[in-house]
Order: sequence, then C-alpha cells, then structure tokens
Amino acid sequence: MNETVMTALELLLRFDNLIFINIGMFIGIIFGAIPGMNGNLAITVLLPFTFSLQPVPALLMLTAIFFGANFGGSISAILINTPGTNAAAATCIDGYPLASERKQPRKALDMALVASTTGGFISAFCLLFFVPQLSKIAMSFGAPEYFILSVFGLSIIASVSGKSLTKGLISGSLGLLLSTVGIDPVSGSLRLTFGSMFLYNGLKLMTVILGVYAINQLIKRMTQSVEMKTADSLQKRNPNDKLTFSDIKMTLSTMIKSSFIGVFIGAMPGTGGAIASYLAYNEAKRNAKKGEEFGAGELKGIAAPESANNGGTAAALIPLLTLGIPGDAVAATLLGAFTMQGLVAGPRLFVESGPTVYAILIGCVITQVFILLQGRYLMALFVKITHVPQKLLTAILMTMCTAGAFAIGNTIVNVYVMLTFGVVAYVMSKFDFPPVPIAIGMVLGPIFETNLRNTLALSDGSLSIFYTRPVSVFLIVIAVVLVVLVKKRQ
Amino acid sequence: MKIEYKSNLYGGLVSLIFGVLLFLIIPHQIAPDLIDMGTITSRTMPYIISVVFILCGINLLVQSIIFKKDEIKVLNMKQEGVVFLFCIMPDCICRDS
Repeated sequence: MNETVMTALELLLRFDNLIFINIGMFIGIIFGAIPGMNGNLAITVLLPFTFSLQPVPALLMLTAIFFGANFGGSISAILINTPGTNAAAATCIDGYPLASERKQPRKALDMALVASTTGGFISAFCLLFFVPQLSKIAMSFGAPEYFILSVFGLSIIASVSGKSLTKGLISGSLGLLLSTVGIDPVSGSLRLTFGSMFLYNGLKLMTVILGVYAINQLIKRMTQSVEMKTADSLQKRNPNDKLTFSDIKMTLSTMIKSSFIGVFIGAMPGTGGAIASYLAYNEAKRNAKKGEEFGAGELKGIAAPESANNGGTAAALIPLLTLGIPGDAVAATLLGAFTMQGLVAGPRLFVESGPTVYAILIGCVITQVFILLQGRYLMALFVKITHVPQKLLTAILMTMCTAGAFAIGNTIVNVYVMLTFGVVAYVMSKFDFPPVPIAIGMVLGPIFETNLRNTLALSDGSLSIFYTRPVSVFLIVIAVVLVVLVKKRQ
Repeated sequence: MKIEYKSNLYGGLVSLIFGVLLFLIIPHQIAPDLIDMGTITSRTMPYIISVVFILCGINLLVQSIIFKKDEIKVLNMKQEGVVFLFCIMPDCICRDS
C-alpha cells in the first residue's frame, strides 16, 4: 500500500503534470463561465488531444476541466444572473443581488471561489478515502453482479431522460445498438456492419460522444442567433468589495455542511450538482439567523450552493472508479478517457493500475489548490473571456472537434461518423429525445451483454442465479429504488 | 418557412419504423452462431433492442393519438438551414477527396 502511494506520488509530482492541471483548470473555468457551454463539452472536445499524453497528465487535465467548469459556472451566475452550468443555478439567487444591487461583485466571486475550493477539497478527500475501500468490496463481484451493475447503470437513464422516460429508453436503446456493431466478442460473428470494413471493429465510443455531445450542442448554438449577455469588467472597485477573514469564518460551518451534502448527493449516480446545490441552499436558508437575508445578497446563500456543487464533483467519480458505472454525462465521457488510456474503470482498477489511480486521486486534491490560485489571480481575465463573440467560439470549437475526431483513428471516416451522430442527436433533440442515454447505453452495452452471456453460461440458462446471490439482490433493489425515486421526483 | 409537428407522434412513428426495420434486417446482417452455447446468441441483444424500439414507439403513438398527450413544436426552416449544410458537408468532403 505505502509502496503504491509512493509510486503514485512519483508519477504525480512532476512539473509537467502541474502544468497540465493548470491548463485543464483554466479551460474548465472558461467553459463553465460561458453560458451554454459546460465542462462536459470541454472534456469531449479536448479528449482526443490527450491521446499522446501519459495516463496521469491526461486524466488529471480532464478532471481539472471538470472541477474548473463547476466553479466557472458561478462567474456568469453572479455577474449576469445566467448560470454557466445547471449546478450554478442556485448561486444566482444571492450571487446576482450581491454583485448588482449591493455593488460587491468581487466579494461575491471570492465567496464562490472559497466555497468551491472547500467543497472540492472535502469531495476529493472523500474520493481518496472511499474509492479504495469500496473497490475492495467490489472485488468479490462475479459475472452476475457485473450484469446487475450494468442494469443499475442503465437505470440511470431514468434520471437523465428529462420529460419522457420512453424517449430516454429509445435513446438508451440506440446507444446499446451502436455498441453491438462490429465483431461480436463472444461468437466472433459480424454484426450490423453492412459490409463496411470500417465497422468491423465497431464504432469508436469517443467519436460518437463527440458527435452526440459536442457537435449537437454546437449546431444548437449556431441556430440560435441571439448573443449572450456579457459581464462588466471588474475594474471599478468599491472599497467594501472584498471578502474578509470574518466573512469566511461566518460561512465556514455552512460551507462544510453543504460540502458533505454535495458529496452524498454527488456519489449517487444520476443525481447531479443542481440537486445538491438547491438542497444545500434550502438547508442554509432553513437555518438562517436573524438578520440574514437570503435572496438579497446573503453570503451564505452563495457559500452553500457553491460548496455543495463542487462537493459533488469528485464524489461523482466514486461509482465510476469503484464499479465502472458512469453516474452522469461527464462520468461517461471520463470513462471513455480511462478506456482510451488503457485503464479499465471498475473493481479491478486498483489491482491493475494502482499507482496511476492513486496519482489521479491525490491529483484531485492538489487541483483544488490551483482553483483557489487561478480564481484569485486570474478572475478579471476569466470575466473578460466571456466577452469573446459566441460565433467565434463556436467556430473554434467546431474546428477542434473535427481535428479531434480525425486524431482518434487518423482517418476521415471518424469525422463523418462524428458529424452524422451530431446531426442525428440534433434531430433527436428536436423531438425531445435526450442525448445522454445514447452515451450511457454505448458505454454499458458491452458490459451488459458479455456478462449476461457469461452468467447464463454459468447457470445453464437459469435466471435464478440473479436472485439467489445476496449482492445481486441488493443491487437489483437499489436500481428499482432509484428508478422509483426518479419517477416520483419527475 | 415554419413547419409545425407533434413530437410524440412523429418520434413514436420513427421509433416504430426503425424497430421494425431493425427486426427485419437482423437475420441478414448477423449470421447464426456456429457454436450453440445454450444461452443467448449474437442476435439476441439486437432483437431485444428492436423490440424496445417498437414498444416505446407504440407507447409514444398511444400517448399522442389516444391520450392526446403531445407537444406541438415549430421548426424554423431558415434557422435549420445550417443543419442541412451539416448533413451535406460529409458528402461534399467525400467527393472532393
């Protein structure tokens, strides 16, 4: 164990890794700060460019984008009352009044920064502590448990389906169908290749994800001609516009409590930062003392949602790293990144790639320091970047996606595949079919099918194996409860 | 030009047609397994998926036609022109190369 951690530290504490963390963080904050863009788009667009990197810097950079985007979302929420990400929606309630009515934008942004860093630290420590322990339990899983796990993962479709579960199921089925294309790993038969040599090895997950997430989103941006609001720069300073030590002291307990709410919610697949931040905000409001005016620029009203949504970021990686189940769209994309780097997310990850994973987990803790530093010294720059014309940004991103898709297999066919799925996802979105289940279906399809086949081979075709093993039963119950809860919430 | 459409009705119809087509092409696209392992074959999963498409499609059609639960959406063809350009772009690149 100690030896693994020492090797991990050796892998991590290199100058180039710190540079990549900072690049990822910078890009993440920018994408988070621009309304209509988000961390997932940034990770998807940049993922192909991390192929040539070693696993540790590549994955650290991508996770840093994720953390940075979560904080970045609060910048536009506070300055222009438009959350950059869904998770920052609750920050608008008190952030915008503090910045606009009380003329203290810097104080509001610094509060969001400190709260985000606190949430991120607590979340990263929980990730570092819980993931190895949960992986040990998950090591005892066999094919039936893996199959049930994949069903559990597919049940997340219920929570990302939006208005209609039926439409979510159709999108998920499309993802599952795409995962069957190519040579069947068990029987060796060719499936749905339509005689094309290109399809013999199946569709590349990342190409489809680039199309479904990035191109789909960029087409939407192109068809919307309305320019976003932009924030005023932070140059005209009000003498009261600074966060003091007593402000931090006053909000500390709220930040810690909200961070744990974020960790708890974030670790549950299919939930997301928006739920965590609203829950934490309501909890802070419920415990408001006399004189605290929530909704009118109260500092605790910024601290609570920001620490909760960042508390959920690293925690969202817990199901991914321990069980190989992506809990949301970002986790599905990161799962693709792990696979491309030769790491198989799931219970055996620590056995097979212990030092690399520990380096990434410890790196998640270190990343939080850089959020604080970049937020403190580069805030004015981040605010200015939101002034870049949207059309220019869209064109740059489209070029990057095309280059990225080409880089996946050094073939133009991947670019066509990406564009095709981008258009398909866009047309589907016109009929309210959600895009996220396509990626989840495609990621979980092979796990689902292979383990179902292995399990039925073990049990001579009997399905009783699923309800005679305690872990399987437990996972089935959790999957059912999750679907019921989501349906109730909807 | 603006086109109005019902999202559940047309979404359901496309899903149903796609499911039926998939069901029909599976025997032509996936050869039977050479070794019978006594469990599911390489065709099982695509068949299950095609059935899900058909059932979900029927569900959406029932919601739209019988329960009148549907949303009327408007497609602005002028704005969507960019998507059309996107659709033909791969073809243009192919021809050029």
